[in-house]
Amino acid sequence: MKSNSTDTVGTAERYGISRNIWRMVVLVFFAVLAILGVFLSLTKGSMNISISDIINILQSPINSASSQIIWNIRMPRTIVGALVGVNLALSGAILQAVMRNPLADPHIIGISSGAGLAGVVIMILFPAMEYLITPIAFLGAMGAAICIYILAWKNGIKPVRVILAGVAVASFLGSGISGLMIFYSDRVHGALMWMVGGLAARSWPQVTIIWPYALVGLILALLGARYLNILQLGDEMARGLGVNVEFVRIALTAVAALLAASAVSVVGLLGFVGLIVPHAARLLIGSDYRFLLPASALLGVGVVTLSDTFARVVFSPIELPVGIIMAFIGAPFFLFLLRREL
Amino acid sequence: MGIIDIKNITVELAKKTILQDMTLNIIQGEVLAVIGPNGCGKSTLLKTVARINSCKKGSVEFEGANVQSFSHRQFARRLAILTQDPEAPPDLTVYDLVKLGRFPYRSWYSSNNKEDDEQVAWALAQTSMIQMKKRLLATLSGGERQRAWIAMALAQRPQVLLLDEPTTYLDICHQLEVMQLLKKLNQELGLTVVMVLHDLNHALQYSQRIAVMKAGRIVKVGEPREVITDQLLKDVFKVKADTFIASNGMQAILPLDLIKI
Repeated sequence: MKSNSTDTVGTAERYGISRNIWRMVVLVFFAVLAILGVFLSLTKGSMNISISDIINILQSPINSASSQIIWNIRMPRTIVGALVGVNLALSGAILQAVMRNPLADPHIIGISSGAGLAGVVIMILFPAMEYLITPIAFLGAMGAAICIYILAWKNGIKPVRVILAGVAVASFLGSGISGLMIFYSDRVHGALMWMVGGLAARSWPQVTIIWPYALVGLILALLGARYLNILQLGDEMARGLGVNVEFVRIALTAVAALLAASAVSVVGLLGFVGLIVPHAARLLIGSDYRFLLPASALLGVGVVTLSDTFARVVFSPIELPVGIIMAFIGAPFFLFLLRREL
Repeated sequence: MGIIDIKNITVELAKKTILQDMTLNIIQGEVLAVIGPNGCGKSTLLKTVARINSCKKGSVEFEGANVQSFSHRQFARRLAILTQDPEAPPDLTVYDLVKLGRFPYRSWYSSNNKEDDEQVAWALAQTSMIQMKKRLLATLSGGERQRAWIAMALAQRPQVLLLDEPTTYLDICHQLEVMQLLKKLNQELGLTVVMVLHDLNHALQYSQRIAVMKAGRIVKVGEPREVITDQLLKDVFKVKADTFIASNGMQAILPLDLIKI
């Protein structure tokens, strides 16, 4: 992985700023961005509600219109958006290390499609089992990941093969999703919204679905940070340093699949978050996963909540799915990375 | 019995036999150079000893115990390997790289302790990298980078260090720097060094024994002077060369011509 994308940390050092202070500055900056995103997401919309009103409403829920909007609509939607941002960003950051590919993103390489296909099968064919949607989406995501490994394996993992195999898996599984949706168009509500990934009408049930996975995924990802650092030295050096590479790769892929699957279960096929966020974070904070993972999580919150607010407010009364905004920023970003890194 | 005994191993990669019924003992405290033409299986041999490749037949033993009987971490505390041209994120500092060498001593939940810090400092001192510990790997010269990697391997506190062409891509000065560093580590620490080399003069100058490989087999093992003969250079490398005694009393060779068959 030859990469110039990590100059900034070095540059900071050249100007005499200690590495750790710079990292803290970046983390604080991302945290501020996340808080800003959450605030804007709560205050802006068809009805603007001031921060002081929100604080009052949060302290003592009253039966006013603004209280209803905050409690039933914007609060859960913001939480879902924030957690989806965390999950997709972490998933992308992990996949980039374990697949040894800077372009690995759960959406691009078909892991989200695996989760999506499994999810759609449940939604359409076995609606009674809807409570199992995340575990089954996880199995779908893991299945897609294993397919990619099998297809891309040739005396070790080759970055270019990963991306090619992933794109093939993504379109193959995507055709399955589209096919099912067309055959059973009567049973799918908001199918289009789901295909591009949107936060419309996401509320407390979705919060309940995603938060345990976000929490467990975050903890497991942080525990994996050291292994991710060593995997960046290549499989052979990692093995020489005493890492059980096969096991670690499968385990961390499972964590990434779990994070992506829980995000897909609640918002559908939201793309590019897992690509843009870890890269932007890496650009500023460097490739040490002990810092990169928390930075990605915070930036994921900021990016998704800000994009969603933008998508709701700017074209009001029309509300765009957040996935359209992400694709609009993400596709050029993908090309930029392609030129730079591969 | 050596510190490592390679017993009749056959290794296949992608269904191709790379090593064929090979036997070799590595003696505690020696510098062993492995030489041979391209594609003869030198790197595969190192990787098999380091458990990166597994053998189809035969076994590799470390102090009498099959290498497969060690846990990953236990083994990494005994043996370190530097593969050819290893990669690392460009923003990694020398210090952080060397700290990765402490991985086999840390369980998944424990953080850095004093022992680790001391060992990292020791490894940096051994390789004269203390001044450069805050530098980014990407900003180092080839020789400095190689020393940083050697420091990482030393932080594992291994008894045996395997190196795959440690001087490739380096200019003559940096080549000598690396070779002399390895010689020093061998003499002062008693570190057993096994290295794959292309430069036969390095093998002659810096190793106590040379193992010559050809087509997946060991052709000859022994002291440099006994091993490197005109006949061997002709048989294995297909070159005609002069062997002579250099001004430091060591044997040296000068390749003169290809031998056409």
